[in-house]
Amino acid sequence: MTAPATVAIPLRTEKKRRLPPITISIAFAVLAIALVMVFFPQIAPYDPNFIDATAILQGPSPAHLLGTDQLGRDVFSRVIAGAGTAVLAPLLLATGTIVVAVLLGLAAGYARGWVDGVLGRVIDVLYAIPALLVAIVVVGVTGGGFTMALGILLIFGLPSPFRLFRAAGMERVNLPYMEAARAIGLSHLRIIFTQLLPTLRPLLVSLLFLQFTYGLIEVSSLSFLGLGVPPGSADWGRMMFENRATLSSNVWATAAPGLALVLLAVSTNVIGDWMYNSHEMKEKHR
Amino acid sequence: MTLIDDAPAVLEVAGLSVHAHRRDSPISITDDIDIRVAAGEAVAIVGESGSGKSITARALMHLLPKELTTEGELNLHGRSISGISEAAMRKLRGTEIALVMQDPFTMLNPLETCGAQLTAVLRDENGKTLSRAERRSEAVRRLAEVGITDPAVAQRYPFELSGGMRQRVGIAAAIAGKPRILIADEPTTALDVTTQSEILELLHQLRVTHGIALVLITHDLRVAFSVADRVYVMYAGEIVETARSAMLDEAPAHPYTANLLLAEPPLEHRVEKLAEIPGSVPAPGERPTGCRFAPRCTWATQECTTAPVALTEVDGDSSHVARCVRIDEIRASLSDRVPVIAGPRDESQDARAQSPVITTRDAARTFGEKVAVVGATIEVRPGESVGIVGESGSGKTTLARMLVGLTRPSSGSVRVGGIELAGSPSRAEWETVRNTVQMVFQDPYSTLNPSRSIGSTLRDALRMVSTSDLDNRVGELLERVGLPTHYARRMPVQLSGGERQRVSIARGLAREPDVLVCDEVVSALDVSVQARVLNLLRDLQRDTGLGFVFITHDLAVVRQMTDRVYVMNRGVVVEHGNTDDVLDSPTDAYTQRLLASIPR
Amino acid sequence: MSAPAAISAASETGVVASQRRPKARRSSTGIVLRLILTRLLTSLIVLFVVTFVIFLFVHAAPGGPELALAGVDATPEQLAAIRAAYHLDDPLVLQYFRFISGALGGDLGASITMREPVITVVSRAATSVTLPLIVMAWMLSVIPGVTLGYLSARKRGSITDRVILTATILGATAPVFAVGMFVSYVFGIQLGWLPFLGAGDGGLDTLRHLVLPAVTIAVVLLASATRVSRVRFIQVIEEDQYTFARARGLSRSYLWTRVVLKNAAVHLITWSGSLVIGLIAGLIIVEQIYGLPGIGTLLIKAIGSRDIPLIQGITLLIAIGVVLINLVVDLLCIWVDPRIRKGMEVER
Repeated sequence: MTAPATVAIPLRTEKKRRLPPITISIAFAVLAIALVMVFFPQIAPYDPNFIDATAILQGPSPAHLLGTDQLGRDVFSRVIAGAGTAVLAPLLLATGTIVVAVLLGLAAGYARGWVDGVLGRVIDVLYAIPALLVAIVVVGVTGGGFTMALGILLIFGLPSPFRLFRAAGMERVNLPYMEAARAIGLSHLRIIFTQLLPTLRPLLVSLLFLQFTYGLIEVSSLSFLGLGVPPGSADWGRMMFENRATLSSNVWATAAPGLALVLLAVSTNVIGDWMYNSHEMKEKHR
Repeated sequence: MTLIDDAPAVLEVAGLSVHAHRRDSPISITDDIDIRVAAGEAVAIVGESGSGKSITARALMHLLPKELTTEGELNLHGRSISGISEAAMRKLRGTEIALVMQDPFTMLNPLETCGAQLTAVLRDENGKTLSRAERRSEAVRRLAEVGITDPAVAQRYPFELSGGMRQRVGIAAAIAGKPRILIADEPTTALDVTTQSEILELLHQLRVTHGIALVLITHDLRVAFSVADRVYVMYAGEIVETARSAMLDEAPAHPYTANLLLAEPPLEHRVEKLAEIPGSVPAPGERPTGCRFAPRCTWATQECTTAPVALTEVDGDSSHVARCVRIDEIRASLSDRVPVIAGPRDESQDARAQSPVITTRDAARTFGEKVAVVGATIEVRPGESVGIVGESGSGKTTLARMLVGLTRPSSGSVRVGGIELAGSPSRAEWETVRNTVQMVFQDPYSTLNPSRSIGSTLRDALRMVSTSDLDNRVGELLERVGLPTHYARRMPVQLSGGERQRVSIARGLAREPDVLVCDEVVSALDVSVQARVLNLLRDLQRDTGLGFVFITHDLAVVRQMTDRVYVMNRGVVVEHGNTDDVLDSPTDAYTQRLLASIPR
Repeated sequence: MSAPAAISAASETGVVASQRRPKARRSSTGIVLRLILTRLLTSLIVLFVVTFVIFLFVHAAPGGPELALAGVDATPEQLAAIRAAYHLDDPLVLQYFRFISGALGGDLGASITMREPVITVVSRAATSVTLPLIVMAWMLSVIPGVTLGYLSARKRGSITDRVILTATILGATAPVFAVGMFVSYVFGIQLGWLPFLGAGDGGLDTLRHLVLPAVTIAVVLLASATRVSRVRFIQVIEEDQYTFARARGLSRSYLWTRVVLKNAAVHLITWSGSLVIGLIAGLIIVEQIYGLPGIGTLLIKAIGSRDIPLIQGITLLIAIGVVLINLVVDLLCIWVDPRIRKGMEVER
């Protein structure tokens, strides 16, 4: 029997898609900038909520780098202020989704039996329902805020990561090293925590970034429709919603938050993809 | 390149080398391969992992991935095909030269019927594709050629067939275009021994009826000898010896070949100690400058390591060449190394008298509709080594898992250390069970948790006995299996297959069990590494009185490692008794068939 | 003389034992029926859950359609009268039951704000705007996407591949509204190539108005299609069956159609199904940006004015659409992959 790994000569191409380091560096740089804006909002030159009736819809100038919006507020400062919700909300959502998905998914994949059956049916139903649609309707109708929006997005966003972890659990539960752990006499709980979870660590991290990306898009879509965030808040999606009509006067009032959103989303996506791929490649070189 | 006989060569390979480009400095994968195949001849390329034999097979077909480059002369029917375009090569593939691959479960398209895949390459005299009726009849005809007489198979999908049948379909598909040479890359490795012999027989028949030349790639010397007229032995990317099968079997000239032959556990008699080959195969890029086998060779001297060695004739026979500078000097001593046959087994009366550690009575296990084990009654006494032998689907692994408590018996009794496993043992009782039997698994590459260090894995097991002095005890365990203590810090990916298997054994020993259940522990290892692990197990038994339950399909391993054996077929124990008795004079038809299928 | 791990271990558990010897043929019709029935059952549950949940929330919300109808100055008596006229004070279960029985008979009630039957309003919005929009976006994205994925997979590692990959990351991640604002600004406002507001006057003019919105949606879809198909194509190329087919000298077109495409089909079909479902939210956004009177805008308006029958009706119809798509996806997969027909669990 030919044994693979260290001595065998690889017949498959090892080069998976790998993004050039430049893209990844830029992605990390963007993330770093965003984090700076989150933790040091003081760097904004103006108070983001300061209304200046004399300076409405001005284009970019040395005084206002990105101009002002229709209430005279400095766009640049508002973009910096918006970084907070832009980063924290999806982060909360992503962490929550992953934690719940891991618990439920591993339970289903490891325990199988009726647990898997019940959870599977529930998830199947959730899978068929678009999360954002429900969020739009419910939040719109009840006038609910952030928390409600996040709650809905979390529940309806579970199917995908749940299935991922369920599959991961099922793949691993019958591997020899897991069986060996049972033969040695480790308790099931110990096995899940000390044997199963460590093998999923790289997957968890990369998934965090990817779920963050989806969360960012969903949350900002909601605020773009005027939902979830109170009017006037310096949320990037909300800013685009409020300044939509005045595109021709100062395009930057809409474009700046939009650009910030796209940059952040793309960067976290790139980072998540890259981590996922390097984890996959490590798996192949046993 | 020496002319073997005057028959025209179907395939001539000279100086074939394959390189990989890692960061612009080429690493050689295989070097200077010379092969010659005459029309209708069968040659075998034998090597363990890392030898480069599969790469060579792909290179002959121009099927290497883009990252590998090929150099050297390749002649098919006298025409050079070394640097031809992909389009030109495509015309030759399937019609002049064909390939059959190793794994019948992934080789065929799961979404097309067997008949459709078989006839995909067929064209009529005008080069047009055949009509549906023609295709159907051709499919049935070709399937019959490979021994599949049921015409309905043409309409079946691959997943509806067994491994052996899929391999036959694969062979039929490969030769559909009537090539004159067929390269078979480990065509039987994924199959049972009985199926293996059928497929090898089929290949032989096809050679006779179609006049196809055969290049058989294999890691098994016995298989090579039974099929091929001439054998090329490869090691670390080079051909180290070539000779006619009979010559190679009787009097190999290269130390590696000799060692390989010795390392194979013999089927006929038990040997005192299996011949090991120390060290491991050098990876591409880490090969020594002189003879590549020198670091592991008992006869190596200074002159072996200075410069690359060329192939030289042995005993003036042009058909026998070997890559060794000391051929003549060591010729005599090479043939002297005959393994010491062990004396008759010491049938210790004490063992007979003591009560068994493990007993099962009519133990059975079903999974839904499938019956894996039907009423097995076996016994394991202290210090004994018991074998459970069978092919896949025999139920041997399920039975093994029942013994260790990983599966509950559906019915019947399984008593381990006095505890009945078919009932509901209490927690304390489970502890007793686990201190009595432990298990070592088959696949060294998934038997250890890849994200935990060796030390952590061993500590997990040791902790179940006592939590004190863990580090020292980890060191002790590693020493017992012949590994250096600093390995505790390493991750599994840094260890070779044999080393990982030894760690797995160490883990099994952590709870100081009375019996170690070894489930095909050496099946996934190279023959040379196999010997080391088997010797280790034997030593452990001798030193500590450890008992074994040896699950395997390999009768030669059974001969070497066990005192008594149970033979299983389709979930039933068909025969049992002392190993020597069962292997020398089997009474059951299945056992007889099993023994008859082994290539000699 | 040895058998690899997976095969002997798996066969011992009996689960894959069937691989080792020819199976008796299981009734595929029976299995297919069972699969479809399961899917239908799940679909019914989905419809029930969606409508019920929405129903609950809509009725639990403060305010009601009576405010929107009567205006801010309405007296409490007037509001009460409106509520009575629309049976808004009946017990929830009764209202829900009325809704369901009506829906089963094809009557979704009448829109409170628009005073027309819900069915009429919705089908008008759907057929004039939303459905043509979906079809246009579809055509602009799936075929080009799969083609790009093919190109990318064939030349993997090359410059072409890298360029395509980088472009798709941007496209796949950019939020629909950002792309929409960008496209409408650059091509609509600044360059003035195409109209960017409203749905025009019907027929060809409407189609012109739908181009920019369709392009917006297509950008995201195209990127996603390219990436998904590329990944799957490469997976198949690296499988043994591809090498074996090559080794038999089969032509490039055979390899791509009968091996790669066929084996990628299930993945792609499943993916495109889930994509359409995810599209729904994007549709709403795009219609808002471009001022299109489609289903999305209708829904937003209905939410704003608490037009309960309209909200219920639209949600129900969208849910039915989702369910139908899943059913079609399932049927296609069953048709393509014989393993599903025989009951094997296939990776989708």
